Amino acid sequence: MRLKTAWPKCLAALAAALLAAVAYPAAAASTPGGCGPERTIAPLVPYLAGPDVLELQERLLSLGYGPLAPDGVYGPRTTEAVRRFQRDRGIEPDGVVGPATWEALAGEPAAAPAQTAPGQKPSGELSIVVDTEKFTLTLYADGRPFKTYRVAVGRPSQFTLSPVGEWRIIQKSVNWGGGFGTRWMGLNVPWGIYGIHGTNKPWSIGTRASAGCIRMHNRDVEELYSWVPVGTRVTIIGPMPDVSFDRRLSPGATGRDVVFVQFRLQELGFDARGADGRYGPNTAEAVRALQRLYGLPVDGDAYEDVYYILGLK
Amino acid sequence: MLGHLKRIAVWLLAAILAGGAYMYWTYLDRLVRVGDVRIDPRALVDPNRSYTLILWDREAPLPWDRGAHREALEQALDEFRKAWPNISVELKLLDWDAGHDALREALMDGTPPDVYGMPLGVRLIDAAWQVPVDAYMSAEAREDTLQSALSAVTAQGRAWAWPRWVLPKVWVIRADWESGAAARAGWSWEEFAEALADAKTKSGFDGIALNPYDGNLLFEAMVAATGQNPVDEQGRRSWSAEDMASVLEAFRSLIDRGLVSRDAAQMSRTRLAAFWNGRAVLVAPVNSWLLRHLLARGGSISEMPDDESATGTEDDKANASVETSTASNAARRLAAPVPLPTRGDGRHAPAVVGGYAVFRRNPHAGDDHTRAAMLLAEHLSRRLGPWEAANLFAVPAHPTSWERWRSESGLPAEDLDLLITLSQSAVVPPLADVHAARQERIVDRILGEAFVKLWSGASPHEIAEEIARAIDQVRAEVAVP
Repeated sequence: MRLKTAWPKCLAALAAALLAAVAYPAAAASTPGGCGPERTIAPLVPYLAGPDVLELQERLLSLGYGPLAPDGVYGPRTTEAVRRFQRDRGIEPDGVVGPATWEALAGEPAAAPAQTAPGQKPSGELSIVVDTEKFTLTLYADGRPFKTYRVAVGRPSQFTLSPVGEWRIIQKSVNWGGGFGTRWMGLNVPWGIYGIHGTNKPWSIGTRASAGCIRMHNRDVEELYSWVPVGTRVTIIGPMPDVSFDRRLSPGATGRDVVFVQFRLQELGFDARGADGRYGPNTAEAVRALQRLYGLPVDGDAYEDVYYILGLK
Repeated sequence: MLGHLKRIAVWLLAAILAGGAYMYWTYLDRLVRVGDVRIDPRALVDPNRSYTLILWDREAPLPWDRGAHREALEQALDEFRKAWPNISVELKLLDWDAGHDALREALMDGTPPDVYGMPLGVRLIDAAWQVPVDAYMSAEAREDTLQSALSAVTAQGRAWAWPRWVLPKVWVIRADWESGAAARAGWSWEEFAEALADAKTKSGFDGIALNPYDGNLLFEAMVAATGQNPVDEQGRRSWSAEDMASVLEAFRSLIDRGLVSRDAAQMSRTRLAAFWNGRAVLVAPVNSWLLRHLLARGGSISEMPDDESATGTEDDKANASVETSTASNAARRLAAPVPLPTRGDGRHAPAVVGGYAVFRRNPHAGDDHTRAAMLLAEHLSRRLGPWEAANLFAVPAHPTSWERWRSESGLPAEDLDLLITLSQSAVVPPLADVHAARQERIVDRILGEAFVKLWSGASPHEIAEEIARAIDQVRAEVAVP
């Protein structure tokens, strides 16, 4: 390792990690789940670890840069594999994975399948459904499917599953770059920062690769971005993490358990008006209706017996 | 000669007049008086005339089978329309738990529906508009109606609705509670308390899980114990303070013996948790929906409307699936309905009777029109009764439909037999609208609030006196709706 050139990059990686923790304190510190800015992966002690390292390892293996164990830990073997890759691609072989290395890892971007003729725009009320089991994002216009894209979704672990529920786009930004690609559309998920965005890892599309966000090819997200306004409804369906129902839910509560309760209420015919993970007046009213029907104490809170009726316990 | 002929003529005339008067009075006698209108129940539907009937009914919310009740109702209406092609029916669905205000307003406007569904208890809303059905009931129909159901809809010597089913109140126990096998219609409070004490010492259960804030709990216990509603058909208080104190003492004793939690607020919200975690051996009160949850989760009935577990031909499946599932369910079930404890030798089961009432229009649309409405009401009560009863754990009012009801309910035979037994000793709310409204107010606003004071140390006698005063006050406050 060339210490003179590697040291600044390592320090930069450390600084970026610290900055990320400060800039995204909610996502990093309190509620698990959600995307963060892409960090520079460098050979540090203690070793860096995380889903981004795992993704790097999987990509290296797919390109023939084994042997190494895809364990999500940036140890010596992975560092060595990165150096070999960098050498082969004419990049400074310092073992530090930044934008240039990610770009090289991307190679030729996969062609996004065109479902509709160029220039055709949707009309009417737009909504989006992401199916995390089929790796698809479908844009609906007035309730009819308009276009379907392939996406990458969250990894199948407790804190990286994509947030199943009913959300809205609350923010749109261009060119965040790096792992976010050319476009970002943030969702109002209350327990973390999640969104639909582009990527510099096009090989991951069609896989479970992210920390929960929905990744698209840059060309696809640019098209979608140009069509959907802030406020567009986004429904994410698919497997949900194990959730415990140990707390009493009252108006003001947020979380995955709230999403479960809202979904289940709707399945039973009690209209919570969406599954957005926020226990608001609509959810409380739906719970009151359930309590009245089953002869439970009526207070609008999801307490233990309510969970039993909902089949969540 | 002429004089003799004159005398014969006079007698003949007198005989004709007497005969005419007799026939006229006989005719008048059989007419049903509804307000200032007399309706001939023998009038038939004219096949050459078209009729349009207005039906107001309610769709039961069935979270486990959404839309099924509406579908069953539409099917019943289709059958009626096919049988009577010259009678069309316009349906308006009201909220399941909506009261009768819409009907009362319509009566004031003179625009009531022809047929009105009353699933939460039959009432005599207004005898000036509501047409008694007994004159339209054939002897065969009367014989095929549960006596308790007929009594429940009868007042002033007339039946005021076509009964659909009788819904007796039950409590639910864990089927693995051995002493609970002693539960039978008419078991006493003493037997009940001893069985509970047994549960604690021998089987390790903590006791029972109640929701004392629900006025139905004390109401049902009192009706079962006394055989009487809080108010009688004249609106006078039936429950004496001594009666109430006696039942409250029984509950107090359970609290003091540690068979009921002292934390009423916590207990009321964790009844199911305590039941399923094996701490509580009984849950009360239990309405049809909670009963469904308990029996489905406890394995007594299938969760899904169709049982897909049987193999064989479609007929085999249809015939075998219920028996197979019933037998296997009975072997593994954890929840079973039981009657409420009564006092002395009394076998009293609080119950509700659902039915269909018929109203005349203003102006009266014709005796044949009323006949058409009666045909619809009777058809719905017979056609929907077994289906609704199977879903609500009621007993159909017509015994000839019990075979179908037994196969559709999915409940073990012993539970169905229990429901039948309880339905035959049913104590139903008063029929008169004003008294029924008073009773509703007593249950909803007085009993729960007073009962829960037992948990904060108030004496049974104090609470009983408070309830007695409050019931007397309701009589003064609740006027004719």
